[in-house]
Amino acid sequence: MNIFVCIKQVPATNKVQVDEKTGVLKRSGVMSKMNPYDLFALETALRLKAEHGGKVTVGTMGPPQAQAIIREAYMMGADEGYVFSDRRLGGADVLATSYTLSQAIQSVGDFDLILCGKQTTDGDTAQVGPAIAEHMGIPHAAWVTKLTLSGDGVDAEQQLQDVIETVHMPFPCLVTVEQDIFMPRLPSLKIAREIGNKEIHIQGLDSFLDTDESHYGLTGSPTQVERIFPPDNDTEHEMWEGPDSAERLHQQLKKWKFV
Amino acid sequence: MYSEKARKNADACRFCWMCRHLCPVQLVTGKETNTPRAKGLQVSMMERGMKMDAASARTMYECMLCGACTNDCATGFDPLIFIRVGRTEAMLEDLAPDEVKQVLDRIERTGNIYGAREVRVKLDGIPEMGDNLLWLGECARYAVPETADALISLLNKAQVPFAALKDEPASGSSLGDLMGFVEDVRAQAQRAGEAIRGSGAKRVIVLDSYDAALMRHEYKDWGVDLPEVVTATSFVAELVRQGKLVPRQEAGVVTYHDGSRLARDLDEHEPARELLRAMGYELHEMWQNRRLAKCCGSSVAGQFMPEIRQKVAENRWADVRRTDARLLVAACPQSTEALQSTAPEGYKYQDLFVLLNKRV
Repeated sequence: MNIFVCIKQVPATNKVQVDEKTGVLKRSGVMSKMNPYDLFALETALRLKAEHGGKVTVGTMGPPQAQAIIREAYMMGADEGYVFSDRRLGGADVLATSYTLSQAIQSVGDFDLILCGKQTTDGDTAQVGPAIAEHMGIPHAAWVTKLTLSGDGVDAEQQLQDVIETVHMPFPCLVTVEQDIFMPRLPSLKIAREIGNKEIHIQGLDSFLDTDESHYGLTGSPTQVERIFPPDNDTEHEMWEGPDSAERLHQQLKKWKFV
Repeated sequence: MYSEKARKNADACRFCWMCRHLCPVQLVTGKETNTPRAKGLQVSMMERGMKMDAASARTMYECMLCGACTNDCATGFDPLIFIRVGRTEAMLEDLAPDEVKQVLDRIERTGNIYGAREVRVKLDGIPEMGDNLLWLGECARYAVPETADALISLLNKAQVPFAALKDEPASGSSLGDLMGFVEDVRAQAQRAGEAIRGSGAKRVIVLDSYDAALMRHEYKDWGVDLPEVVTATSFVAELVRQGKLVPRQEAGVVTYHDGSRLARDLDEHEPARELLRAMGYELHEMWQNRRLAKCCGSSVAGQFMPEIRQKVAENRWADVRRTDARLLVAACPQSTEALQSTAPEGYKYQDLFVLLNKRV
């Protein structure tokens, strides 16, 4: 089976600056790492490959420095890697990012299964995976904690808020995985020695089916980050004690229209 | 390549350079590059663009990973974190010293650092399945079998049923020291875990403290579930407490070397001392003992830098000479391997279990 795993390079530190003009994180020169949730997605792909055979391709949308995570994925066992890098893709919001990735994946080839981590640690929206599926017109399941191959597709167990839902999806389909679905393996030196300087494919917008620049990057983003800031630390508080605290809390939440 | 944790540790160094008084390698080579401080500086510079070369890669390997620096650093700096990552980096860049690569080749061919094919421990008649699994480690199996033979004899004398694996896989300790904690090391740990589970053991009695430290600290994080792991020293000390082993008492003065992994990683100091007192010895401590113990050299280091390991062991004997003891005892096979071949004239070395076995 043919599996594509979306991975992303995220800041490895919380000391990140934001470009005041565009509202976009300044990633260049910042210590980076693979998005931790994507490690779970990659591990899932590698285990499926080990059990059922096939090929694992990884891809990331980012600046050229993102090649580092492709190399890390190679050392874990991925077969092929792509960096979709183009200045015209920069500054994308969820819609433009997911469209870019859907175009990128289709430009690489046909895949049975697309795997994503449930969210990234910088954006935290958890929207890109499902949005990719919608752009591609394929079914998806998010927050998956268990995934098994079943006939012509997969059975996926989703950890929803109050329930666990099991769904069957035929190929091709997309799954975003929860943390701890599997314990991610470490990079392997043995694999690193075997692959040497394996090629990382770098592709830009011109390799996509849709080359209309207005669909990508800042131009293609209907939303724009205006400001990113930590919430004010308000230490003002009241302490309530006694058996009527729960009712008192309920009334206060109603007053604030939270319930 | 360096994780945020490794970078933070490298940048945490305050350059007080007190670690030079503790590093067993620096104390015998006199080279500033052998201090943890210098290694930290090197990592910081590599994170800021300096490329690793053969010399800086070698620096990463001239270290016993004994943790003396970590134990004493006022800043809470832990060089072992980035030294291991540095070794991974050296491997990736193909800059690891040739002597290190030769040891790796030996491990690949034979599964152990010695390149040995025959186990030297007497394992005939010992079952491979049982509640108590004796885990010997490669040093005892191939280099100093008398330590394992003595422990086996003690367990028989105490009538403790136990099992031992004829094809005991490596724990991953030596591999981890050579290449850092990468997937290949975890895969080795998983093989060891499978072998342990296959024996049906409810308790693993570990002779080599390097194996015990790895099993206690890393295996769980790597998803390798083990039953109870106990050191051989603590297990045998309990047998003596229970009266299952009654050593013959003979007066004498002895000094005890705390193996670095046993004393620092496992924080175990007293069981070996109890055993010495149970044999009637008067224990005269070296100045650097327990968590401050000076490393005498690891087995894996002895394979790729034998001259430095010998000097480090001789330097530990210098500490013995500052006491009035003429007999040095240690409890880890790797200490036995390093110390017994470097005993100076007029001094004697005995492995703790070999000594105890003679008295029971």
